[in-house]
Amino acid sequence: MPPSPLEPVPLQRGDVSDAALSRSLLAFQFSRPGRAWWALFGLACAGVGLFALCVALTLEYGIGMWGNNIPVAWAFGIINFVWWIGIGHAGTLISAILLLFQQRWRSSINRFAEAMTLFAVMNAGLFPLLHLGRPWLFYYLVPYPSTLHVWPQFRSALPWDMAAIATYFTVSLMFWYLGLLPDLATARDMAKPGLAQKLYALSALGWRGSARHWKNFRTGYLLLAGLATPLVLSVHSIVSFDFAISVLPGWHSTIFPPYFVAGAIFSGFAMVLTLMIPARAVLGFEHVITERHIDNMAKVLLATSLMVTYGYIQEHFFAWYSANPFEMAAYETRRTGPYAALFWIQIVCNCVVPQLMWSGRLRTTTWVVWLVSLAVNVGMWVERFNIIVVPLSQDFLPSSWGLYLPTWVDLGLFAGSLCFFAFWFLLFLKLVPPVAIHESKELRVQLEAAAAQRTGGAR
Amino acid sequence: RVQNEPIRTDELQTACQQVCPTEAIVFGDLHDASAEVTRLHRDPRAYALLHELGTRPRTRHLVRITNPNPELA
Repeated sequence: MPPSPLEPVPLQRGDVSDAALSRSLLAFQFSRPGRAWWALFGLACAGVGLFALCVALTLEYGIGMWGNNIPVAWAFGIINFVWWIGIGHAGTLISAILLLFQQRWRSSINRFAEAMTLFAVMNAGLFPLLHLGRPWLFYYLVPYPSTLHVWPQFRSALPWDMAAIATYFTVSLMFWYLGLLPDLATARDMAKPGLAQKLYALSALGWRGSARHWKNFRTGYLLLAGLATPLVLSVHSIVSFDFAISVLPGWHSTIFPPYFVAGAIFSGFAMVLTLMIPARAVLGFEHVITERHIDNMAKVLLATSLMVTYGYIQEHFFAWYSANPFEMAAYETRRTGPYAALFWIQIVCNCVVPQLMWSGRLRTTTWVVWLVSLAVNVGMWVERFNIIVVPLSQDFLPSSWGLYLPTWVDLGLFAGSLCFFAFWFLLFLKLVPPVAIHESKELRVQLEAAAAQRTGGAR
Repeated sequence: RVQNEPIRTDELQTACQQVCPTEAIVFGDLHDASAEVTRLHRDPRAYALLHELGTRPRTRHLVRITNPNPELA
């Protein structure tokens, strides 16, 4: 139902009293999971089994199990790494950056998005470990006083990645957990005595909801938000440096840091929408995640789509403008070479399809937004493939050119990582309130105060 | 260093250098002005691959001569 232009779509609707919110937002946690949850969880577990198998094969037999070879030495492993990290950034943006910008519509979607970030970063962290020829020596990237008297190569982006991702995971985890504390306490208070209640009580760390607790909470939450905000920009810039600091045509481009950050936010918001639209329908959260939330997120999707489109245009224009034959060839091969089909899929999914989000009516039609978000997820993965594999397959010396094809282990790792993510995410949906209860209550109070002020002023 | 003495010029050979029938591979100490590898680096046929990218490679390749004297060919 399209919103009337004179009446803003509310951020919350229906019965949102404290008791109603506690009850409705914890309902799934206290009920037995239905068949649908078990079915999805079973599928996820099967996928995790496949993932474990592919990881074991990779560790036992090495990177020969993958399709990587000279010249395409980085393929699915690094594509998946960049894709997952990019997805993680939307969660931090929604929780931290929107908090600092005082955007109230973040409050019902932030925990969902942060959890997505945590599990995405877990996934992302696995791939750089797996793509090493000797993964058990991953700690060589950490600057510790080695008996070999060697430090990591600090001029390389790989130790920077290690630092950035370790920091990002730690801060995101602390931020998520701190925000979760009051809700774990609510769950503890509402649970019937038993194992669940004991676990909620332990994890709530003795939260009493006193004024002092809330004051410290507020300070800690804002501090962590302040820490997490620059991470959104820095982590994906550092990931883009993996490519930008090299000399390869198609990689060596100064637009990469902002282009990657915009792309990360783009793919991240798409993943949040992909997960949230079904979850809110199934778990009955339409009263706290309204069309206004979806509308706002679709607008961010559109904005980042335009940024990413600008990035693509800029790349191809400057390749031509540079008159550098290697640059021109690198972009020519993207448009017309052996992987051209993937390039045009990327353009359609990332640039054309999101333009539907200009329409206010379509932005609030949830199934349309869901399909657009799926297209963007696919398009962004394909974009990473185009960025990573295509310049490697065709670089300076024609004698080095070679094509890349994934093996079943590559595909298994990718599908497995999706299932690994689904496994954790389904557990999260079941065990922890996915919508921040205390923030929803706070929002209701703020909205009522704002409404009272408006009617009070109109008197 | 072997037995606390510096390695002599052109004393060590890599496996590929040792086995090469045409003696196409030469390793050594570039700091040593008398080493074979230093002499070959100054050969007019020597070029550095993709040096224009600023990679500053330590290896040089010797251009294959493709138009020999007609009395030899």
